[in-house]
Amino acid sequence: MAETNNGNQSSVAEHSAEAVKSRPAEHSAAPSLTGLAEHSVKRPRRTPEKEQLIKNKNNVVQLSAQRGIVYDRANWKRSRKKPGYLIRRMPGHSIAETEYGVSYLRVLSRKPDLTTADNSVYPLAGYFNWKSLEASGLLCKERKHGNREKTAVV
Amino acid sequence: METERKPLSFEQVAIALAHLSMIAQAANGEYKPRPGEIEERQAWLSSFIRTGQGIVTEEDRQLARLINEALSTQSAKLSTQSDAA
Repeated sequence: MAETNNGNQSSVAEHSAEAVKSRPAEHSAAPSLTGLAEHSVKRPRRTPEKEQLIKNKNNVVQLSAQRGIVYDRANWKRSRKKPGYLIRRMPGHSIAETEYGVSYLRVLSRKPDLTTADNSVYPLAGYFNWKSLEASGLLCKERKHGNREKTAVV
Repeated sequence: METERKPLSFEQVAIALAHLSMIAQAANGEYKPRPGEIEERQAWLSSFIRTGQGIVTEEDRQLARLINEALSTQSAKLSTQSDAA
């Protein structure tokens, strides 16, 4: 009897082992044929729209949450009007700051110093206020050298 | 109408976003543009959308004017409808 009991116990143990084995099948893509999987509580799956919304939200966060940029003389200019901020340089343009914003001036000649803000001919020239510069990524907060590996690469 | 498109640079895209932001601020009343400034920015954006560049032609200026005319007639229609109601 003891043997049979042991045999029964071992068979129960086998079943429980099967049951344990069958649990991960709930999360697998293939449908499982075990009874346990059929009676298990099915979690509501995320709809594709919800997943898309979450993805979009993450994209927005990535775009807007700029932690700051390490000063690089070739690409950025330190703002005089807004200390602690960097203004993106444009190739062939000089930056003129005012209280209200920045003018990108196309350099026509250095001697004599001739510039133009006519953006119909020179597309990158023109005037933009601080808010628009910040919104477009042309104005960023300066990040000090401490955490260099976490800085945004532009 | 179809023109050759060149690959966009970061600078062009950033300037386009800045123009868009300026127009949005003017629409919200946060920024007071000088006369004709919004039309210039509109023309720049229409050029950028059409060609991938920001070199404004007379066609772009005409397009900006047409859009503004359409918008003003539409808003006039809406205001007369609301008055009648």
